[in-house]
Amino acid sequence: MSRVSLLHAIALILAVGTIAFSDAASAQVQMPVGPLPGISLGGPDMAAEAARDYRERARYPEDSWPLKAGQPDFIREGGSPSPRTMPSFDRRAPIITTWTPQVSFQHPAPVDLFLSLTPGEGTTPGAMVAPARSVKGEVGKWEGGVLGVIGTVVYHDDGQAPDERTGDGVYAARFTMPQAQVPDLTDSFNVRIEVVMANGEVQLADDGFQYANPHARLTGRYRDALREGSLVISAEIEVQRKGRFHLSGTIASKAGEPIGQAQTAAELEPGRHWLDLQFYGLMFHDRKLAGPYRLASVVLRTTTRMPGEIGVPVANAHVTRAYRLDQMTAKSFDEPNLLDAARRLEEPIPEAGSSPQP
Amino acid sequence: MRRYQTALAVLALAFAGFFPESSQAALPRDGRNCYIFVHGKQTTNQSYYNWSVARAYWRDPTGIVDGTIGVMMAYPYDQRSFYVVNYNGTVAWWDSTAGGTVAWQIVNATNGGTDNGGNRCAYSYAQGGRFVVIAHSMGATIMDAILGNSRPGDSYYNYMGYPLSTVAQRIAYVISLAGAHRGSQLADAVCQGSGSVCGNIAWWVASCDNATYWLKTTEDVNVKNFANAPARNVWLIGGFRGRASSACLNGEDDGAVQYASQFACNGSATASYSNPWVCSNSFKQEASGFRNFDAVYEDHFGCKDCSQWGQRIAIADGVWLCGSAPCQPGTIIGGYWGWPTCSALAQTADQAW
Repeated sequence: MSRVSLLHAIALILAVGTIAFSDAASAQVQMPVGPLPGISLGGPDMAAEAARDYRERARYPEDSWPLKAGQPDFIREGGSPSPRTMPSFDRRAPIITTWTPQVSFQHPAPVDLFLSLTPGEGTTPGAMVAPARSVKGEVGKWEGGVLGVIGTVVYHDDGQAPDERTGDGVYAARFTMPQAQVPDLTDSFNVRIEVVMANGEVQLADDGFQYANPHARLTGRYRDALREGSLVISAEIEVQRKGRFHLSGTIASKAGEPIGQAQTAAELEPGRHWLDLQFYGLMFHDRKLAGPYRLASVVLRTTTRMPGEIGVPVANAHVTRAYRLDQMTAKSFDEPNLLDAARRLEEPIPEAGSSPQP
Repeated sequence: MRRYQTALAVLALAFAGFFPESSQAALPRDGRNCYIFVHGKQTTNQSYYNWSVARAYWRDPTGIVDGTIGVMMAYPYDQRSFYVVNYNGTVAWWDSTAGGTVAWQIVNATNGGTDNGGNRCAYSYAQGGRFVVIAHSMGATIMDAILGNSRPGDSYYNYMGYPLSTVAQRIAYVISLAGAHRGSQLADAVCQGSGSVCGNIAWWVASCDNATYWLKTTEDVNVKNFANAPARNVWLIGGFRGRASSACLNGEDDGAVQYASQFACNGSATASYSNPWVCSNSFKQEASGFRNFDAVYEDHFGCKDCSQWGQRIAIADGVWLCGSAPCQPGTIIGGYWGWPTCSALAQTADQAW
């Protein structure tokens, strides 16, 4: 916190003291207002800002939106969780970081789990690895408000798969889902990890993953076309069980620079179906990028119920034909919901005393 | 006695040069504004069955002010209306008694219906009412789920018939107070089970119930993997007044939720962010919809019941203007009684209309 000047501290004490002896209602009326002396503040006009945002977003349909230069491919990123670092009271204690290669694993794939140990503050200079005596995990399933253990794993740093290098401080374990625990659609699993350090100290950590038994899969067949100035990429899926299915994808330049994202969803019966992702043409004009384009990532999810499948993205699934920029629409879509929201925010304020609802 | 108190307060304000500015006196009075309050996680399900528990959530426990709601109503001089949502804060954010109930109640508010305590918005949506949702902690997670599943192509569009698209259509935006957008490391600790020091410290989060489990920071339970970008803006206010539990949270925090989550950051939910360089508007968990507001020296409770009135600072991509330009990140905006902490919400909302 910054220091408060004596002048203002006195004022503050007087004001607080006064208010403390008043009742709540008068306290509210007497609240002092105003910025710090010397700072001329402009109040943030959130409605105007929001209206601007909505008008900008209204250039695109709700299910197709652009990515700004430098923004990531959210679908690809979303499939690979970022490592999580455990907090610790003791800054000298080794730092534990956990991760999995995927957020969601699909039956019958095994689940690979990783953990790294790096030295805490004040340990041997130059040390890159904090050795552990043992690293064990309990895999549990959340059911009925109780976390029931369904299996255990031992993490190794011995270069044996899924570990990659011996002695690098990265420990790995592989968990095979027991057949009896394979979910009907999805389940969330918690991993409670116990790390026994070389000096015998015990530290706890955790991880988590989704295990899924999807009701539909991508067949690997794609096709592309132009429709009313937009790029449509269709993906074939095979549905095993009736339900709702969500498909989303990121379109990128041939070099892999993300341009935009599109999504669609449908209720489908068992069998083969084509789902269309429509990338609104304007996004290619905004980025001045002509084809061919790359479907940089695509993910199919079974979303019949919540919590549904997170899905496993497929990278670089398809490359389109060499569409020219002038084949794409450069018109604003003028999405009506967003324009209406913007209009309501921009409406002039009515005179005081206009009648409220009865 | 009252006259004496008033005179003393006025003297104090004059001494500090804090007289309200004329521009504030000219703030629009617009009864069309309605604030809809969505509380956070609860340790019991009482808020679901007893509306007064949800109402009390927004009161300052010291009794000096009536929390966020009171400030919204009293500052500066207004006729605004409000509606308090109550739901089951012990279940997962996607549960029908959490997200589903919140959606139905917001639509009821916009239809001109009363909350379970008898309050109603002065104007319905059809009459031109404007609705701002104030969501705290898990309340913000629920709003992410609602607004991110409100378009036909979204993963869980109008899931189970909940009126998610109607909510998105009718609200102006959300103000997220210490939102658990990416979960909380305290929830991680509690769900590690016995033996975790942090789990013991986080006793006040209660047990690893369904709500806690679905507020962990692992991505298999993060709302971002079950929702799209919010259909309406979510303005992010983060708290950075720590508590003993802060040792169990990475980076700046409010004693319950780490900055990476309060500011809906992309990347690791446990990344360490510190003032004023929180994640920018282009590095959020979704491609659009999340916008930085500012940061305040208040803990997880103080920021929702207005019991602390801490110092505010401008952050990267934040909203405050110094003169006509955005305030430099790190600029101290204020931090005195009444300015601009809770009242900032009311004032900015006023200026908005």
